[in-house]
Amino acid sequence: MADLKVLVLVKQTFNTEAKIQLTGDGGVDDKGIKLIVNPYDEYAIEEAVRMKEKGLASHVRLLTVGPEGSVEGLRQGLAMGADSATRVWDASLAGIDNVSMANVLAAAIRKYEWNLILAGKVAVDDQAFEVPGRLSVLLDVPVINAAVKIDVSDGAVTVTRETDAGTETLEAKLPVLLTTEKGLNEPRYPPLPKIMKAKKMPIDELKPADLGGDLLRQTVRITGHELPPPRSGAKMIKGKPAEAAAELVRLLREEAKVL
Amino acid sequence: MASTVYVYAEFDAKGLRKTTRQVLTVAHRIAAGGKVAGVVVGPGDPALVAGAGVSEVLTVQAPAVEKYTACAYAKAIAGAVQACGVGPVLIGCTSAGKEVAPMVAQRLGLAMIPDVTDMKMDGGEVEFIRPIYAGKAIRHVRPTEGNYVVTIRPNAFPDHAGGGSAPIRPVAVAFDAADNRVTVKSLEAKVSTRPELTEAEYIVSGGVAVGKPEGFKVVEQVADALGAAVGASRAAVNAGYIDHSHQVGQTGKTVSPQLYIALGISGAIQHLAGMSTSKCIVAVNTDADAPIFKSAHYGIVGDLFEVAPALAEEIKKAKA
Repeated sequence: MADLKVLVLVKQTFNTEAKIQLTGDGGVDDKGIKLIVNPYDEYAIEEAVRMKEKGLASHVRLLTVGPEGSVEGLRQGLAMGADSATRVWDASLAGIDNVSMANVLAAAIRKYEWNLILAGKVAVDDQAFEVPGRLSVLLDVPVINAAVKIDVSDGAVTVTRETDAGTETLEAKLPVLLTTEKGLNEPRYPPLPKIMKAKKMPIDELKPADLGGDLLRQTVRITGHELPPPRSGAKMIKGKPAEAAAELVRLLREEAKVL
Repeated sequence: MASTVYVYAEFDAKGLRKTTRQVLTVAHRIAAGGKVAGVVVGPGDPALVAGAGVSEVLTVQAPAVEKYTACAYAKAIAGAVQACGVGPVLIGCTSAGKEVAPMVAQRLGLAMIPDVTDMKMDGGEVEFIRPIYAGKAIRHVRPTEGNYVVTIRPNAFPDHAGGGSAPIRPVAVAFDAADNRVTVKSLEAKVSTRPELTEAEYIVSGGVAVGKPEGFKVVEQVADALGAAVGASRAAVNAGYIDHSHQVGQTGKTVSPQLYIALGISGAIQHLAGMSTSKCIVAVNTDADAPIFKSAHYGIVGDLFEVAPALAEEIKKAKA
């Protein structure tokens, strides 16, 4: 039986219903916005906890890089059933790009014993799909992205995923880095006693200074943000279904010129 | 002298992918008259790239890349670029492009700017424009160094006209056992005759109002009349009416077709985020106050089971 030691990478993001506003200096305003665990990371946490419940994993550790508030995401994962959690932070990490983020995560990951890393395939905020791929190279560990099914046996994983080409089944020996896709599982809502217990669990804190090396390098510069132009509303087409459909097709051809 | 701009060429059953032709458009804007090289890894006809408007085609052939795996392909692309002199590397933001790009960037020690939908040149400096929060905000970003990796969203740029017949040059990349750590056990190709969702010119999507899995038949009718891909809202996917691979929105696919027809979709912000860059949006919904009508260009208040069949007929007539 495989003895999995799982690290789950967790990021806090804006909730997906959040309305985005800009600050005066062209940044994204996070004031008053409710943060959630990145929905794809929830699949990763759930999968790791299920591995533990099936006796496949002996330990599940959550790892996040983020300010004080990101402790909430770790507590949610602990309440779901993770064993331990680490948060890396100091002010020097605010606003770092994904090159630096991957360096920081890789350095933190090297502090622990693991043979499986799980992470959401993408974060719903910057939608970069970037950090897991960089980690794969930095840690010299193979990556399989967007898993909708993960089987573990004999020190290897078999992963099913959907790509533009079709349904793919891939195999890799441990250690491996897997990113998770919607459809992999239904993340649980932890019951209140577990939520209360998770509140009292210790969270390991690391600072970049604990990780050594030159981790930060700015490779991109954000020059500003804008909001998409507001839409003025649809031209409403009236009439019986057949008439409305005919008028719509006429407008699509003659006015919008998309047919 | 400006460095070569590299484009990773992707293929599908029909040949060179449309997205690659669009990436070539961006490559020529960045190269501004300089060299643009296509990179072909594994199977895929380099002659198709040679005639697509490039100065040179680099090919990497080896047993390790006979079947696509992200790690080996990223090594191949990075290896080809390294061998010929590092320059900007442009990759389509497809399912494969998304996953190889960060590994290519990391191998070459470069910045990465993902999912670009627009760009501008500002005094020799390039600025990329990309939606974040699934299009709820737009970010302007510049690489701080001359070389970088970018991924380009399908359908955001026009196809490059192509032409010419560039030389094809094999490049040797040294693979080792570590490159075969992921093996492909099976690949079931998509049987759908419809276009791929993220690349489609037309998309017809169904919402929770379809009521049951069979309800999607009426959505498919319109899609097939148009030659469109079939999309869905999160509510329809969560209700089990259709597979998640069809989901459009912040936790699904982001699309940008010429025409997006939303049937029975109310227009939750997370859905709008995934399709708001579509050129023309049509909404059909029984609720005249549905938020989708604010984002749509054309709207019909009505039952999708009555309007959609009529629409399919009219489209067929128009196309005849």
